[in-house]
Amino acid sequence: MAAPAPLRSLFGRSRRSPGSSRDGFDYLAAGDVYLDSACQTLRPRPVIDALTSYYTGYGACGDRARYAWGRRVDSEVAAVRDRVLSALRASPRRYACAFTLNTTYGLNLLLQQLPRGRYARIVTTHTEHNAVFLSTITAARRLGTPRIVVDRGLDGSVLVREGDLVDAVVVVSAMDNVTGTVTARLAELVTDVQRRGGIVIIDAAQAAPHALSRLRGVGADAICFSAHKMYGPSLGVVVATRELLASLDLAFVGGGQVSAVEDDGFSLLEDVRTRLEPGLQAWGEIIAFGAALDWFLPRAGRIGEEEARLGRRLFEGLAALPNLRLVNAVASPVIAATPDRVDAHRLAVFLSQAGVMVRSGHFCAHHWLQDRLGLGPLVRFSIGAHNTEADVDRALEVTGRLMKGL
Amino acid sequence: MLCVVAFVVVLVLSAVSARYRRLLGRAWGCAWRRVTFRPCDTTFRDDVKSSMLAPVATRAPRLVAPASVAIEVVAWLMVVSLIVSLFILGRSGLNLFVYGTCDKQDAQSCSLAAEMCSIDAGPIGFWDSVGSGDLVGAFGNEFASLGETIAAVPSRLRSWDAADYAAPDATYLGGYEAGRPTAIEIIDPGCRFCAQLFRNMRASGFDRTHNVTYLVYPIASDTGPRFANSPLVASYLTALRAVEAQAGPPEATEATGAPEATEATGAPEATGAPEATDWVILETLFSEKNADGTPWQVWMNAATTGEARTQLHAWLEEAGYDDDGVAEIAALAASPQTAATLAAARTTVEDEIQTLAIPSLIAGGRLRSGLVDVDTLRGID
Repeated sequence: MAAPAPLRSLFGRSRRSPGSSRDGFDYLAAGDVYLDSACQTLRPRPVIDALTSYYTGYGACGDRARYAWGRRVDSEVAAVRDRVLSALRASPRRYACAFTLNTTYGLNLLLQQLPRGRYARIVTTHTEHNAVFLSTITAARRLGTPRIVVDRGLDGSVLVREGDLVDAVVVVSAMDNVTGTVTARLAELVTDVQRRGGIVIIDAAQAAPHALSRLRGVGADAICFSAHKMYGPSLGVVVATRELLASLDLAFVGGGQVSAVEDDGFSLLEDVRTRLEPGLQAWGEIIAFGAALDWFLPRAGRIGEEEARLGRRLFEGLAALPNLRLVNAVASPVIAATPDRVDAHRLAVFLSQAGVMVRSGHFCAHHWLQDRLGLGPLVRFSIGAHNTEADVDRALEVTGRLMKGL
Repeated sequence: MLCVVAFVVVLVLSAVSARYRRLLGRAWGCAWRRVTFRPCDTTFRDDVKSSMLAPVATRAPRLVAPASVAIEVVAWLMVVSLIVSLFILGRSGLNLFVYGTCDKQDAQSCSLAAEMCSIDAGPIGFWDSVGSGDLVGAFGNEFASLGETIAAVPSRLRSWDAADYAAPDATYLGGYEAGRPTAIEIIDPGCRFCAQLFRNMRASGFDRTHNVTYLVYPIASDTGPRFANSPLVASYLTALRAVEAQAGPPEATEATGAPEATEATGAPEATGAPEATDWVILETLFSEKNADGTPWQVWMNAATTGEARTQLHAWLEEAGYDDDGVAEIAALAASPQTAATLAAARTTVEDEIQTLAIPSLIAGGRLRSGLVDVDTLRGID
């Protein structure tokens, strides 16, 4: 977001002109180089406008409201659910779309409410984000099943024995958040698991904005991702099979989920997407996510090509710098590196001083990076739709000067 | 050390800004681990240091390493400075409580102390010892001095009884009257604050509600007496007390009565028993002026020993002593007996009362260091 005017003048930056090449991001200041889209993408103007419009025009509750604003909210939210399913090419007959707080929340709502006795084991991989890695630990404990953690191939494929797939809950990411590696042969994995009586839950937090086409038709039992990594407001999205949602042993319940309540029991609504939506929903954010999809989907191809081009430029530039070791083997929109002569957190502060904003730390992949690879804190450059070639060049210039001088 | 410094800075800033109060918890967590000799397990220290180095890094990355070292050095210096400051603050406060002055070495230099002539009897100053190359001695003296002060704390908390310190041949201002509480002042005849205390006693009427006596203590220094003729005057006062303890004041004293009150004091004349001659001399010294209009105390401090002795003899004669009497007192003043009496008084002041301030007054169950004003004197039971 743009800094207040006094701060901006202090650092000698200026706002972009309205006719800037950054479609949808005209509000960005010229000196701000934001390279943390893997955490949260910036919101294009239509998304901001949609959220503002909700708050200033009809900011009412959805669900069971009979007045005009409430009916409008219900209508627009329902349309967003349809657009989500459509974006993933997921049949409304088989899948339902629910909204949560974020990907982590969605994964946990599913995993912590799986029925006991139905599954024999939980399978995941060593390269997972904490959202998957930690939630599978607690889920295995609750279900009383073994948890199997497997390696991945260089292409990101999940290296699991067929026998481990029987009645298994397989939870994997479709694209990691450290190197941006897209999971290969995901559809085959889903088929293999489902054929053996198991289910597959996909963490698509990175894949949804960067590799949406790889999620389409994959047939997973659930796909969880975050709207805020996909140019939308802060919001979690779960697309799950109606069968899986109906089977959940609900432990987290409240308003918006029931049709009747007795002394010591209740009747759930037939619409299974409500299983993951207890209480009041983030109506404005859901509606604004619809605007994000409207903005993103027609541009997804062009954005993907531009991200790939900028990713290559950034990868090649960083690879040529001294005292910086890349974790990535190949270019991607997400590039992680370990600096040799300066702490990564400090490097991030130094880069920020020059207006270049990158992530530092272990990016919620502690098991993979810290525990398995023994790496200290890293820096991560992640590209989004708002980034330009000038941003990449600026990041390379500043990083290069620091790597050579420190 | 950086997080310790940062904690102190944030602590101060948080007093005026809620923004910094949010940082206080992190700063304290880091600082507490440091002062308990554990590594700081928060990122607070790194955050602070990185923020300080960032402007350098973007302009001249090669200067980051030396700047980082400089920050650590400055942080250490600030912490050492903080510790020293806290030590000095605590020591000064303790000194102020125990001795009435925050600086034992130079009591008069303490602006918080009462007005006084200081007994600069402390050990050699820290920087003097360091200057002479005695680093161990510098710290040794510092802590020994602190130990003495701490050891003296209980004495300041107890109830003081002036009668415990009165000389066997003590004389009392205006004469002793049974039933009055005893007060004892420790005085140097050359100290102007002793003169002022005397005048304050007169002005407040303290001398008529208390049996006021004194211990005479000529302040000494490395180069001799602080006031050149104080030892001489003290010896005559001591000799006079010894003589009059046996024979009483001469007739002339009775004839002349107590000295007239000065305009300065405005106090009415005392009545009752004849004034002891040592008090007559003290009153003259502290309250009166010579023919030139010079206060006698000022004149006495500037006089040669011969002039001082002659004037003392003149006052004795005015008080009624004949030549033989004056000669007897002069001889006694120069005797080992008087020297021993003065030495005993010195021991009492330094070892038992342990005051560093002249005058000091023991009255109303308390020891008061330095000059006591009229209002305070009126309030002492």
